[in-house]
Amino acid sequence: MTNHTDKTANSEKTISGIDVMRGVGVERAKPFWADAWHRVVIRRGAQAGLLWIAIVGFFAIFAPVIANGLPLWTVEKTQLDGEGEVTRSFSPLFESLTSTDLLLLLGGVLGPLLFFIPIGMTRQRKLGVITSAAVIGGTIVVLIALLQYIFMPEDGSAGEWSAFSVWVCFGSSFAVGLVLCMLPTFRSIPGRIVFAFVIAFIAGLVCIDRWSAPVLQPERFVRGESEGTMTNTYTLIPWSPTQSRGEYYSIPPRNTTGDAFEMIAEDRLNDGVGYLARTVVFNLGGSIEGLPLSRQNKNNLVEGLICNCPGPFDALSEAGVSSRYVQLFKSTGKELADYRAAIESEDSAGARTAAKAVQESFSGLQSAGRNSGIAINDALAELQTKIDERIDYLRKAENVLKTTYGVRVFHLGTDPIGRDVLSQMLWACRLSISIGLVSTGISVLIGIIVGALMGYFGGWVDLVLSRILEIFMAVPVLFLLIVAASVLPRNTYVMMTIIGCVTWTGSARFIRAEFLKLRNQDFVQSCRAVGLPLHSTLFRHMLPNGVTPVLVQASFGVAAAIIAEATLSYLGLGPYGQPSWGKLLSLTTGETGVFLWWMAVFPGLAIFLTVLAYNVLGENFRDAIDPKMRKAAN
Amino acid sequence: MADIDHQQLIDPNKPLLEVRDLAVSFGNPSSPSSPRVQAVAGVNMTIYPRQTLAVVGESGCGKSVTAMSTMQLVPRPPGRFDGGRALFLGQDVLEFNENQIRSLRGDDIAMIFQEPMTSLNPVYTIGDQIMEAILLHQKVSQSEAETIALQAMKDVGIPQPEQRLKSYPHQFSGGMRQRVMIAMALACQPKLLLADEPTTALDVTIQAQILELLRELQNTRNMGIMLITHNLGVVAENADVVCVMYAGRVVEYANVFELFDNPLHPYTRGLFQSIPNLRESAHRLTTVEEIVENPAEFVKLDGFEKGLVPWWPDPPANVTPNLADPDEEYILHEISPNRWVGVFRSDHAASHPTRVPDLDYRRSDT
Repeated sequence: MTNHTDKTANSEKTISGIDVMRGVGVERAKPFWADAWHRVVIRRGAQAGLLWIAIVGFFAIFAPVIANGLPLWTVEKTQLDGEGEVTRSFSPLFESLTSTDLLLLLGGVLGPLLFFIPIGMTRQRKLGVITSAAVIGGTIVVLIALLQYIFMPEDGSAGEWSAFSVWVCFGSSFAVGLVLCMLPTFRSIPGRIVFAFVIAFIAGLVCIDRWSAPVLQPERFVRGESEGTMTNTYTLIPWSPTQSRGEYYSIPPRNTTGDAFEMIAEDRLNDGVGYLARTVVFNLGGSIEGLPLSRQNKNNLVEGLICNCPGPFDALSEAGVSSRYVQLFKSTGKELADYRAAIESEDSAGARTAAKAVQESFSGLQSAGRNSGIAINDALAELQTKIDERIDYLRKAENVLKTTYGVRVFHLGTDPIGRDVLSQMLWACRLSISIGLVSTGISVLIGIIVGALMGYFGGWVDLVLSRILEIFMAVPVLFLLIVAASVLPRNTYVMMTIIGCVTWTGSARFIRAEFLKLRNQDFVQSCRAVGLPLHSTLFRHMLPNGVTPVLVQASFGVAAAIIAEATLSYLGLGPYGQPSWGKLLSLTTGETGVFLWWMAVFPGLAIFLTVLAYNVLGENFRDAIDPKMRKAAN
Repeated sequence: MADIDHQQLIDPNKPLLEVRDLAVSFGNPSSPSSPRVQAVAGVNMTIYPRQTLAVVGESGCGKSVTAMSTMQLVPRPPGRFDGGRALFLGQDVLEFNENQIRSLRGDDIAMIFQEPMTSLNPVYTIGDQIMEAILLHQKVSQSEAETIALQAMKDVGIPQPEQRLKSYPHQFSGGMRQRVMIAMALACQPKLLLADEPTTALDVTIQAQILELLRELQNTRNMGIMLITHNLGVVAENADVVCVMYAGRVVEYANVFELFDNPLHPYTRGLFQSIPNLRESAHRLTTVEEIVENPAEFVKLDGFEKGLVPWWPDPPANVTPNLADPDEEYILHEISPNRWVGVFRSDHAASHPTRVPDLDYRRSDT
């Protein structure tokens, strides 16, 4: 025995190529798409991108349950007239869910369950079943929403219409089931039909149940709790995206509702003191002899009074004001500061003493000047109201803070209207995911059909469609969307349709090029020789062989659609009444012009990461399917 | 196709396919002013059940176009049927509409392509591809189709067909893929098989196996085969009738033994002479050009003195006879019973009406 033979014998069991041809040791090859998917997901970048998209997708489905101002569970005690009280337990959150929310939740729970529990179906087939169910359910919900939108009277007299809800819902479900019953879910045709109609029936039932979901106000439950008639259990993030309260505007991240009240109270007090100081200075300025104050100096003086700091007063003496006045201002400033400290430390005796001192100081200033008594008296009264308001607020805050509602944190702060940013961001995931996928889906669908016809037939078909394609390439999407926002109803569907109907040119050109190459290939000839109908040749045989560049392009298309939506929302032309990352960004400078950093950073980061995820995914997908790169990697 | 009954028993003595004066031309789509290419200019041939008709000739002579025309597989445009008929069981398939021709393709007439490596769709399993054709043409359930596919795989001699049905084309070698192609073509029990150079891409041992297989299947199923090839050895071994084509026309048509024993047309002789002979050492091989440029070769045909001159696009000087009609220079002449040669349409040739080539001959019967 030579060394060489030993080596062969010691390594694993070997078979010859002849054995392989005879089928010995043949392993079942991965199906085409499973193989392509595997090649994509072994890449780090693709994993990261998919992870982020999965997170966004998770929140897109579960946001209404995770972030909701309505209690998850409420126990309500109602006093009856004479007979004691009645206790009622219910879930306001569940009652408020729309049919879309409910179906998404259903799918979001059952889909992964079906996918990961082994029940003797291949992954591929499971994926087909889940996707088909999603398509059927989604189509039904959208169709019924459209019917409601078109036919429901706007004055809210939905009563008559509700009588037809059963017919509308089941009619739509039946129609959709009929149209989509051939989706490739199961192998047997009856199986497909039964599946489609079962899904359609469930979707129809949910739509009837949620024909008009009740609008529940979160405030009602807060009030109930503070009055002691309700006991609420809230979900993880107890804010609805639309829920706002005057007190909670522009709160930085990680502050609580209690902080919010403190801040308001502080603001009120500052307002009062500032108002007083301003009134004093501006009224005295003109009347005190030898007090030639410019507007700038007056402002400085107000600052000095409010913060009790020496700088502005020194400037006063430099400006030639007699030291008597300067001294008077200084002591007024000090007494104001004492007064404030006393109020803040809730030392009522000290506050009373300090208030007297302030009043005396102002009287001194008053007597020094002339004709300004009324104004300063008014200002003092104003200060008193502001102080009262502050106490009021703190008391109210204490009241609210006693409820479960009160001790919450705004993890990412609030916007200038007082809505929780985190809740809005989570709810906006749905818009982001749906606008990206649906608009790109429309665009890829149109692109594939047009491109396939162009590439396969060539000749005048190609010529005519190429010209149409060039026309569409010349349409600027963003400007079209801006114009459409002012003419058409501002909702997501219109936006998706417009983006989808204008951006299909890229995929059409890719498919055309692929089909031009493929149509002369032998297997396509062989399809025709077998007598396959045209649609089967085009879409069953040629498409899978040429669709990969389009999938890469679609990945970038999703990112572009998300950016288009964000841009439009930032300009204030986005979908109406729906939280969106772009809309949050547009509130960064608020109505007051104050820059709120958290409004810029978090939604900006979300948009950035999502777009990056899709781009990285597309990039990795391209590398994975590029045979040259693959060879290099091996 | 509703008109041809699937269950109908075919009369073995009636022709399966009759190609009559078929003319096909192609335009050049990128320059419409350039002349059309007359790929096939009046071709006649006949195939009987259980008969193998070999069509030989050099590249571009119209062999494949003739075969494709009988399934309307010629892309139109740029292709165009200028005239003639292709009768399958008496019906002109050139007249069929899209639906009729689609149910004919793959069901009554099947085709095997030259390149087994690229003729299968890489995305689907072998089983999927065979079953698709079966489900398309036969009213059977999924599981029945699987049984038929399995049988087809067994028929073409693929080991462990149950496993191999679930394999993808890239897991097969070239010879195995060609077997799969044949299994696909035969799964629907076609009456006529068009084999367009079925063995060109294969090595010699596999070639022999594939041809043996085709012969065997032909005998068990009464199938007619049109065998398009460049390989004269394959022709000698397998064909019953040979049709030699040049420049879109049939130049010689005879049964295989007569043709090989006594080639009448200079081009046929040229083809035979350019085959290297193992027993003699030659400095260089004779080319077809050397034969067809030699006037002596044209004189050899019986009846030369009466004006029968083998047809050739550019014949040597002094051999062209006076044409009966200056526009039509070619006619396929039955020079002796069951022997046809393409000749110039001289007065003599034109005045002796001949049969269209129609040879009900099978070597296995003799």
